Amino acid sequence: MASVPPASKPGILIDPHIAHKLEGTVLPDGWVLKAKTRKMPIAPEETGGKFSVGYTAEKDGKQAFVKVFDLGGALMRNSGNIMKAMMMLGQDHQYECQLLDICDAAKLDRIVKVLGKGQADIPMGDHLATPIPYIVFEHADKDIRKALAKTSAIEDAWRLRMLHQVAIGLQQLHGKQIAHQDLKPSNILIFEQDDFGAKIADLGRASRNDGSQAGHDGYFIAGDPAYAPPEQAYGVRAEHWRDRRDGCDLYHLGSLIAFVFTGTTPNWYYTRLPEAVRPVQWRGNWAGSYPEVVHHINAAFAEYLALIKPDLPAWAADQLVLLIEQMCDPEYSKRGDPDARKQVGEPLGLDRFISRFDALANIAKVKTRAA
Amino acid sequence: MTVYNEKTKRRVVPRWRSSIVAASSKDFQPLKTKPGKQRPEHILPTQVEDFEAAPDLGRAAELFATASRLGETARAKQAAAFIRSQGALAPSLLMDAALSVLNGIKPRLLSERITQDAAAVAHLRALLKRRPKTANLWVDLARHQAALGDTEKAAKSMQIALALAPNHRWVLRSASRLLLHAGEVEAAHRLIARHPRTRFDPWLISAEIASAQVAGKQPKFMRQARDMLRPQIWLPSHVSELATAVATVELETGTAKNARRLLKLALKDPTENALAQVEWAERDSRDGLKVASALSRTPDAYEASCWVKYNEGQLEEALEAARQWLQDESYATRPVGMVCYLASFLDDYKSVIETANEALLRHPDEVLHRNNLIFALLSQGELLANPDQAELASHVEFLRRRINAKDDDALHATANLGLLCYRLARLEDGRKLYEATMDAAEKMGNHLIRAHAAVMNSREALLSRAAWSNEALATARKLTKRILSPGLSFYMRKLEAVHKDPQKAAEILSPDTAKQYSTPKQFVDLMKDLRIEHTESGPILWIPKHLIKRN
Repeated sequence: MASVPPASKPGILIDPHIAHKLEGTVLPDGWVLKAKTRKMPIAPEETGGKFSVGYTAEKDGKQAFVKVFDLGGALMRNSGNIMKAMMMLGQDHQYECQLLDICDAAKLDRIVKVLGKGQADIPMGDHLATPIPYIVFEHADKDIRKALAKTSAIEDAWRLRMLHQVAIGLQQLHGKQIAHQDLKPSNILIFEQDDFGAKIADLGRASRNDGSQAGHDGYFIAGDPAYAPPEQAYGVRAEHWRDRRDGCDLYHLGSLIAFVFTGTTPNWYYTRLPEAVRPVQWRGNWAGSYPEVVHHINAAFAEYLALIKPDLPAWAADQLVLLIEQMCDPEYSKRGDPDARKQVGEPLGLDRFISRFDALANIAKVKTRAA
Repeated sequence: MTVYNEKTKRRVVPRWRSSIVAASSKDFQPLKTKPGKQRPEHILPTQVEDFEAAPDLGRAAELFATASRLGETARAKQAAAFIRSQGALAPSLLMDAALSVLNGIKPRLLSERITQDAAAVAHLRALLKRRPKTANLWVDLARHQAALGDTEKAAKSMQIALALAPNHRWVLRSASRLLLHAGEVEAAHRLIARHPRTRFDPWLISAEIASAQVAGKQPKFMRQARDMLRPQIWLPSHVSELATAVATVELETGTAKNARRLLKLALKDPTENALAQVEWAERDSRDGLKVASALSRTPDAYEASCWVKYNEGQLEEALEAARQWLQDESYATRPVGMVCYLASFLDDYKSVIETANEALLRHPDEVLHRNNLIFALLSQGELLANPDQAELASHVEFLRRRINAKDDDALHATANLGLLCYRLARLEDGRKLYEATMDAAEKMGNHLIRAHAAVMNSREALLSRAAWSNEALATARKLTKRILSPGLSFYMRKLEAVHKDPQKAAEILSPDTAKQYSTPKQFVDLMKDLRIEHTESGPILWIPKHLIKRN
């Protein structure tokens, strides 16, 4: 087993594939990297233009997930400009760590916990080492994609409770002025120990409304393009943070409701629109403005809402459709709880949605008992 | 007889299609902007790895969505097969989509699958209940309401669409088209002419010019239109309809040379509406504008295709295109008329009766449809065989009223009465009524109707073996030669065959034998090589060597 040398080694040598060869490495805080979670590197597009490799890790019989920042990959992407690559990677690592520190300090229990972070200098020979930044996260049992299967009363109650918890996690982030921007099913982790439930993972594409700049802030789509709200796919940058960032999270939450009950999302249905009115991001060639095309999205959205209803639990179908409708409204300035939107500052009304999820989850629980 | 004025004036009034069909049409596209760049996605391999490492429904659903979106059919099918294997565990919407992909069927929007107008109205109403501020849905609702003949409700729906999207080009053009359909020609023109966007938009200016012509007014934006038609100002696709609209004005004011230049410009990248207009202009002038070759490049060009096939004498193909045209513009009267007209030449009275009856359900007062229905019912013979004479009596009463009203359709009604007399064995009365129709048509200068009445008189004389059948055939022969009507020429070939072999009349005058009397395709192909050159001293017809007979 290789041990990590002290960080004060003088030279730097970059092996472009080093981040992929770390099985067995012991990190400075004692975590031992066991196996890569994927054979291939996590694609940069999946990590907001950042490069990382996932590992399972172990310490004192405890499991964890380690996100290792891939300097070699970043270097290759930046045409050998070592300074730029290191700077960008360092900034990304630092930005994510800062956000995680905020979450940790505020004890945000619906955000995946950080167990350690730092930099490992991997020895490359005498007096040489490659710096590898990393973050250690608590290990989850599964992600919410496991939840999709046709419905029994127990599963419905469980799904609704998970959604309630995700909404709480989102509110915790928004309360700290952090927008997640990549709230897709694989980023909702499930912790079965003590029946803890759902937590939100991966702040790699998050942004904070405090004047700080993340590397991905300049993109129309910060997160995974597959889940991006339509206005982002059409290249619209909403003026207000609330609509641009928090609104994006709300769209993802609405899509998540649809996904866990139907295996589909509104975006999935939008790809059936004629190519001529789809944005380039959805393999279309629309070149006009969003207001001119939004009527098409609206019409398709209305159809989608009608189509998913039979797949929702009958007793909650109307309310779930309404939740999806309000969270995924293609007109981003109207997205959110309509009553909340009428208030000063036009908030999205996440607190109201949490109450509605809670009520639905409670009813579902009663129904489960009755069954 | 069925009547369709082959020479009637045509205007480039906007097409009004469903929002989904319109989405792919050129008039829905923005004028100048270019599409942005796609952000590259490499998520598929990750999702494949995730799915293959631990296959479950959630991962299959994710992979299925991504692979479908990226056009990775093999991967989409891999995920779809897994979804299918989950049977009742899979949500029904996901299962339906997976089965579609596995069966090689492209998943479509729900609205694309609903073809009946009444069903579409119910569907749209349900959607509007949920999303009442969606302009597209209101326009589509109006279209189906208009197709069902409920113009008043259609107008109300369109008003809401206009309120929701007052500056949307497609909504404006659709609204103008509805007003024209409802006969409110002044309002149709006013809507476009007064809109602040019109002077900057070639699509709206073309609609303004067309509606002004229909309303008998002077177009307001002719100067702007001519400016827009200067070379390289706009993409050819955006000015194709404008070019034909201005060309139509030029044709009417006698500046044919300018019109020809504009029609050529329109053919660079035409809409199907522009193509139909060029075909209309070409029908008389035969300038060699190569409409047929543009047809192959223009999807949904049903109207133009119908006329091109008709002029080539391919009546069966023309009827097929007319049926598609009718499906495309189910609210409009012209395609109904065309289907009936063509089906009558083919002696396909079943089609005429079905089409006219369906149209009468939507527009019960439309005299053209009623006249066509009566003609087909009488020609088919079942009406007179029916012991219950109430239906016949109602049709006779209708003919009486139309003849007495002396409106435009009086000739049509008179001819139909002639047909009835022939079928009631009152041959002399039948002949007189047809002759009266011919005389009246001649006085009106309508040589097409005159020839048409002569042909029908000849048919009835031949079938009833009237003493004057030879004379009637000679008159029909003479009058059809004077006009250029492929339909009448086609029917004359049939009548000549009946004349030669009266025993086979039923066989000859049936849709099954139509091909024998169509214009031979070889002849049509040869004639395509003719070239017309317009010079200062007039047109020159160039005949290729292979068409010149040498003795």
